[in-house]
Amino acid sequence: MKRQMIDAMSLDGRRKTRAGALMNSSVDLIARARRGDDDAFRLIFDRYARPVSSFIYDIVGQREQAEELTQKTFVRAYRNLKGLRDEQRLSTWLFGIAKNVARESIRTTIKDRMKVAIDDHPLVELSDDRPTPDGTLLNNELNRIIHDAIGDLDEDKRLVFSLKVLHQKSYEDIAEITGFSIPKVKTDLHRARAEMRRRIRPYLDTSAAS
Amino acid sequence: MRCEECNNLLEELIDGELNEQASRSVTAHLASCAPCAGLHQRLLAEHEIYSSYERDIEVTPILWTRIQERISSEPVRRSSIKTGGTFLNRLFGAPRLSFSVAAALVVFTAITTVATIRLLERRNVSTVPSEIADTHTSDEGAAEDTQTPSPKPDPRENELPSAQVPAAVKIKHTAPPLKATPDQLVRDAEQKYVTAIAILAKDVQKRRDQLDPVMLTQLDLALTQIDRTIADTKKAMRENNNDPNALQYLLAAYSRKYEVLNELADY
Repeated sequence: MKRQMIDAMSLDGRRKTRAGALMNSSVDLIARARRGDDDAFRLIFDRYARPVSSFIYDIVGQREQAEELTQKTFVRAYRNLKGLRDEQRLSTWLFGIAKNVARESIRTTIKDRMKVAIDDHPLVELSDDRPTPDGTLLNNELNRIIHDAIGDLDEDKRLVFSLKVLHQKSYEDIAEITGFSIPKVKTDLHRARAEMRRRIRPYLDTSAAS
Repeated sequence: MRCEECNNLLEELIDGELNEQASRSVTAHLASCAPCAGLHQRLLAEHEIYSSYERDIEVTPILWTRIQERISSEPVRRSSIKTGGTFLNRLFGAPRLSFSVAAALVVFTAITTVATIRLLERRNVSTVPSEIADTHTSDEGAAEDTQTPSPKPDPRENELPSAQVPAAVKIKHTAPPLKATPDQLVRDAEQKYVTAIAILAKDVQKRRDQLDPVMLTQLDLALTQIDRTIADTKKAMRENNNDPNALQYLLAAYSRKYEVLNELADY
């Protein structure tokens, strides 16, 4: 819930000053942005930068790369604003572009680097270390476990897991963003959950015990 | 509901993807089945853990600055969005347009304009003299019987000196004979359009792999619709004896196709 709220809000620094402007509907913002209104596109960016950036991060696994690809996503979105047919589905459209940008990047340069990064940090073995009772450490460790577990999912499963579990997109939206059929979305999601479950099991046990 | 069936639907229940009836059935089963209820609780706990997942991601103001720099470095596109874009501005401002494309565009634009003007003039030439002839040779009653749809000319025009004779009449006497038929003019303009479109299409095709798949789908859809319009207007022209209105639509369709491809070439 907390993440959803954050995702829906603008960047912290501009949240208050732009609160009124954020009441703008996507349709209005797009219409204005299409006419070259930079402020309108800035509001679109403010509204969607964080969820889009998080999604890209889920897919590529590296913060710097996610930032660069977020930039690329919004530049591409700007260039293609005319191509957006259903203004009500701005979020789905942006996620679709982000998915393409992330996948292209993975195909070209990132894949090997990600593999090395994962190999350099065999955090799977760390699951032998029981989570400490300290909440912060537990969260940090859990975040790392989840991050690496997501990175180990194959690309399709990573996409659907991120979109459904971490971004609460509907199956229909996920199908539109990824181009997968809904049965494939369901199957990949189920398998992704099973793989993730194996990785976070120690934490599930702790959670159940507490 | 059986346990197996219930278990298969638990994830969808948590995802909020079950319809009301299925949701009610699963919930009813959970209320009466401890093992399934236990599994449901474990899935919820798992879901809770994912909800607490926080990425080390921060959207910094510098990110917007970089985006703004990138989109600001596209003066032609920005200008065209703001102003609606003049045809020539986009043509010569696009860095990827080759000279041949630009030249082809200028040529076919000129030919299109000339063709349209000549067609309209020919219409005037063919109607005005008959009206004048009517007023010269007939009495007032006969003039009213004329079948021409054009407005009845003011009889005083016939008394004007030659310098003030309506332009259409003058063209009939002073302009060189119009050799090209509307059909030929259309074919000429069409050929120029097709040449320009082919050059652009080739350019777009080369970079097709680099383009966004969503955009490509929309491009294909748009081009299909435009091609259909072109086919329809051609048919209308054939059936209506080269109707100038159909000609306008045809040339507009070609122009639109050029614009779509030009956008892609400019991308």
